[in-house]
Amino acid sequence: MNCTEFQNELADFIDGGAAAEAQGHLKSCAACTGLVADLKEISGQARLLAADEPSPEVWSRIEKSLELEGLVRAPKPARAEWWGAGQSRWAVPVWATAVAAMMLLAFGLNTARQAQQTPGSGIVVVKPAALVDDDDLKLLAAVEKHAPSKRERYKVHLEAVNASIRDAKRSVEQDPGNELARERLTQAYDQKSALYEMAMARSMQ
Amino acid sequence: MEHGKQSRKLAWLMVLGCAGIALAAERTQEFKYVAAPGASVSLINDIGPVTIRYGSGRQILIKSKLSSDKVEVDAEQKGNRFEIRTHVLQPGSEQEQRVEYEIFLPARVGITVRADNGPIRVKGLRGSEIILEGDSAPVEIHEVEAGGQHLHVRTVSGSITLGNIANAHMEIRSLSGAVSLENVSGPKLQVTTTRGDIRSDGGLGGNGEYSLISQSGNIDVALPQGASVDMMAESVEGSADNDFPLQQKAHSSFLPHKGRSFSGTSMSGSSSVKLSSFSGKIRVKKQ
Repeated sequence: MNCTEFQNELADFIDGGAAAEAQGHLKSCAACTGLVADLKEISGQARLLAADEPSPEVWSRIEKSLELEGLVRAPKPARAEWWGAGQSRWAVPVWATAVAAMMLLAFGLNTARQAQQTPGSGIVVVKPAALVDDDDLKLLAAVEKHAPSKRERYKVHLEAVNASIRDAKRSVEQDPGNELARERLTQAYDQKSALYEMAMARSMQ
Repeated sequence: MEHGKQSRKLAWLMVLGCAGIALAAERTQEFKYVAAPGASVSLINDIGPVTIRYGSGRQILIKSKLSSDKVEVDAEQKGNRFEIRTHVLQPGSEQEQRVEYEIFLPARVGITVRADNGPIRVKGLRGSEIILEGDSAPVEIHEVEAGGQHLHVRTVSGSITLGNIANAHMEIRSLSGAVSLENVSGPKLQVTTTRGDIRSDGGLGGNGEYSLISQSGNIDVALPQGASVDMMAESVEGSADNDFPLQQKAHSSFLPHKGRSFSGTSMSGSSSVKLSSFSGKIRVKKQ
């Protein structure tokens, strides 16, 4: 048995149904031994993932987005069939499920990026990390109480200041000896502090 | 024909009547205090312009013009401190809540103003500590000899303009307002904006430390021919261009990258000038 023939029977091998010939090839081929080890590792991780399964709504949203992208066609197979660990006749082996999971993850990340560029496209929208934290939200609530019309404006400024802190931190991490980058970070924090003070002064007036 | 003349006369009378009612609603209040050097005045006014001028002698004079009877001015003396505040008596429109202030300030009397819409204008003060805070209020400060005192200005979106300022420790901040400096010098100047542009024309002398920082705003600096500066400039994701003659320093920890950062000295390099932006453009040129 050569490598190509072995890899054609790889699925059976991983599921434990390998012929003696395949076992023999594995003993003599380091490349295929490495491949099998990798797939078993992925398969093991996939089982762990399946134990902490997300809610059905998550899967239906992913299915819908795949449909919208034209990657799958309705009627869709039941979730348990394409994600499960090989109970039905149509089930996909666990190692293939793991690969599919990684592809879905990559797809999800890509979709999130696209969704930011094309809002309202019907794609599952994964929002980027919020640019305002809990303290910021409390501040905005205080601003809104005093001057509702100013809330949105202060939110925009908080987001800008938080972005400047993030960018300045990145600059300092990349070049800790850069005096200008350190000063920019200090000033970014001071800007946020000043914005808080101005907002609070108006809220307490 | 006669009927037409009478109609026009009636219309004019109505217009004059309305104007009369408006004038009747407008009131003025005036406060006078005698202040020792080191005294301070603070003013809080949500809506309406605030103008502060130099006044000779030791008298603080505060003139206010109220747009309606829905607001009043509270003035209180606490030792050497004078607190003035617009007091909204009942809700009304922005126009009805508007109060206009004009303050005459002797030398070496400090002033703190918080005004949301402004504008806030300061002219000719001498030896006064000046602290101004606006929201959307534009702030203009001209002809100030600070005598080593502090000059702090901060706004959310209001623009800030400084012209002919000498001998002040300055801290200027705006989130999105533009900052414009003309012939501004002092021991220390720190200008920070998040999105607003920063422009400086002349000044930056007198052995001072000058730091202009913006997150995404552009920074434009025009230096006089014989300016004596030690300069560092960097824009992380924008650009940095220099047309001012600078000599490279022999030993520097700052490593310039062409088009993004530069450094160098002119004359003896007596003033330190740091220009820094994350994504804005930095341009330095001769005046």
